Amino acid sequence: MLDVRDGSAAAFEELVSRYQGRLLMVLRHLVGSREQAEDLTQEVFLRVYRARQSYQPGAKFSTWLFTIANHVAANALRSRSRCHEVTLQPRDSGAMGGRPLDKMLQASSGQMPARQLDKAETREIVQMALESLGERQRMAVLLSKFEGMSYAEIGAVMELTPQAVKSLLSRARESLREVLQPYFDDGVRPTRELHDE
Amino acid sequence: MMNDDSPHPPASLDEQLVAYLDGELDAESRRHVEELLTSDSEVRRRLQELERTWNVLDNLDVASPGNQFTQTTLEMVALAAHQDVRQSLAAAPRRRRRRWLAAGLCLLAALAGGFFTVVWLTPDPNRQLVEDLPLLENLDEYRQVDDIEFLRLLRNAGLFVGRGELPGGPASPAVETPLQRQQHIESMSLGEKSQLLRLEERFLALDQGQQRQLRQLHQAIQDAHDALQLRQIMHHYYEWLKTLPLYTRTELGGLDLADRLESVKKRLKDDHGPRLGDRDSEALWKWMNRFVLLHERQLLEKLPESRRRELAKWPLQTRQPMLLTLLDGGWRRQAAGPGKAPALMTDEDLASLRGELSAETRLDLESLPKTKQWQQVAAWMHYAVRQQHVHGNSSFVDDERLADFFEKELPDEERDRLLSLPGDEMQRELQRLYLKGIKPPDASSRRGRPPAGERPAKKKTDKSAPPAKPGS
Repeated sequence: MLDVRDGSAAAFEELVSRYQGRLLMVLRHLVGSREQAEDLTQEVFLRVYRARQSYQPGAKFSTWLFTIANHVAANALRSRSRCHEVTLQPRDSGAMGGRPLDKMLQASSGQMPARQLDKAETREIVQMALESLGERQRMAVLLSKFEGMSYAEIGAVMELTPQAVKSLLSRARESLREVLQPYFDDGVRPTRELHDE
Repeated sequence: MMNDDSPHPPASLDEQLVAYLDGELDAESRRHVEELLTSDSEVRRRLQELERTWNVLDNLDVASPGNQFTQTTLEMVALAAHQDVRQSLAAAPRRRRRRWLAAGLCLLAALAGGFFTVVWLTPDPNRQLVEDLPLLENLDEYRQVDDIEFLRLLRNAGLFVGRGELPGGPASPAVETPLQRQQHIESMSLGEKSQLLRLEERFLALDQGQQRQLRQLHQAIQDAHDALQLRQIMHHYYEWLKTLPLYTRTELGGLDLADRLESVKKRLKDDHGPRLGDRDSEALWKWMNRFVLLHERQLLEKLPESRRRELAKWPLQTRQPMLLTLLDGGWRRQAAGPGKAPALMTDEDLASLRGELSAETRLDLESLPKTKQWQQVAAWMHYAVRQQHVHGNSSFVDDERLADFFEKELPDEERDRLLSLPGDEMQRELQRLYLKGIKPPDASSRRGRPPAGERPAKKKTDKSAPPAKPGS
């Protein structure tokens, strides 16, 4: 990053190629749309470029990068003209019901079509569970899960104390458990209820 | 918005379990949780549920960017960078604009492959730039000539004629088609593109009238039947100009064409007396370097303590040209003055030099009175140092350090003066000022401020970006 700060184009290119995937991953699951996540990822790199002089040696770059990403995403989410809150409830899942998740994951390769279907469904349900979280819980989960950040680092990104992060993550994981546990145990799919805020 | 920052009650069991899974508990809390896990099956079950929920997040889509995405990102940033440059130039008052440009010039000079070079990744055809390319690549030459008639006057007087081809051969960039120019730009290295951008910025910083005049001059030369010869004369005239002091060049530029021609003729005849040939130039240069080597300690003692310490950091091969540059100011005065021996030089040194010159030059020198001999030697030495600068053999202060010096140490008026110079002259002057350790005229008002390196640099920050915290 110091090379970027000092004006190296090659260093900036290297920085983009190294971090864009990680950034896109977090933003994709934070805002829920691949297209918007790509726009935001580019916006973050633009801000990194414009603010490069404020980067200080010794600062961990990924923390600084995701702090910018957090601000950019928060602004984007705030500016959505119509916000949808997602509430998930366990329900009977009809034809797909009754198949515990862990059994699905254990499906053999000989059952590939079913397995592929199950994986797609699992992905969808996990995505829905994640979207059921508040924006800040979601960010904390993504930084912890995919960036492997400590509570202190997440706190630096989100401007929270480590204790607040601990509490935030605990509530987030409990919410995820509430949504996913019925599916684990009984194959009960959550329902997605959308309503205006 | 969730109230995450409110005071927290004692950690719940879930919080402790999650922190345990995340490896965030201190030793005592971890021991406590492990005791609970050993003794309480309900706690164990709870931990397993939390862990399983966490692990299932691995099923989320991986969002991989494609190559096109990377390219688009770089292009977008490059374009924004370019727009920033334009806006800064357009919005800033003249002085600030020049200062900004100055910082940009220094940085661009310092950073081969600098950041703004990314703008070349943009698909924007930059039509005007392509059109101006031959002008931009020879901007300093065009600025010194400013009228095609002057080139013809030089030719008719037999000056700067037949001195060889243009660098890169006789091919004329003026005959390139726009497509060829576009391809030429695309084939440039990042450093070359950076240099071209720097030239473009300098050109655009001129007022509209000057821009128009230079374009017309370029067009006139391009359309002339003797275009190649005129360009060669322009090039060699400029090469000669670069060896002249700044004030002389400024003076020449202010004269009308006929007077300028006469002045050039006179200077070519009188300046520094007879020129040394290659062999004698080499002998002189070796003699000068030997002198500096032998007298380094005494020369250093004449410098302020801070400058002496600074010089001591450099290796010998760097220190020597630095000392030569420091001495050059004195030699220039000796060349124009009463002809005393330069500092620390004795008649023995003069005799030693005479012994190394060719017989013809030695005889010419010996035919002069002693004071005139010193005057002539000082002029030769001054010319030799300037030639070293012109040919880039003495860029011994690294560009980054120079850029820092320029940005933080020089007063506004000094920066403005430097900016009025062509690029190479600006660089040379900057080196000279740096080496001389010239203090700004208002140095007293700066007293008490910490050295530049310890001051926080003036930085343009994006308010939307948080300050990075060291060690975070």
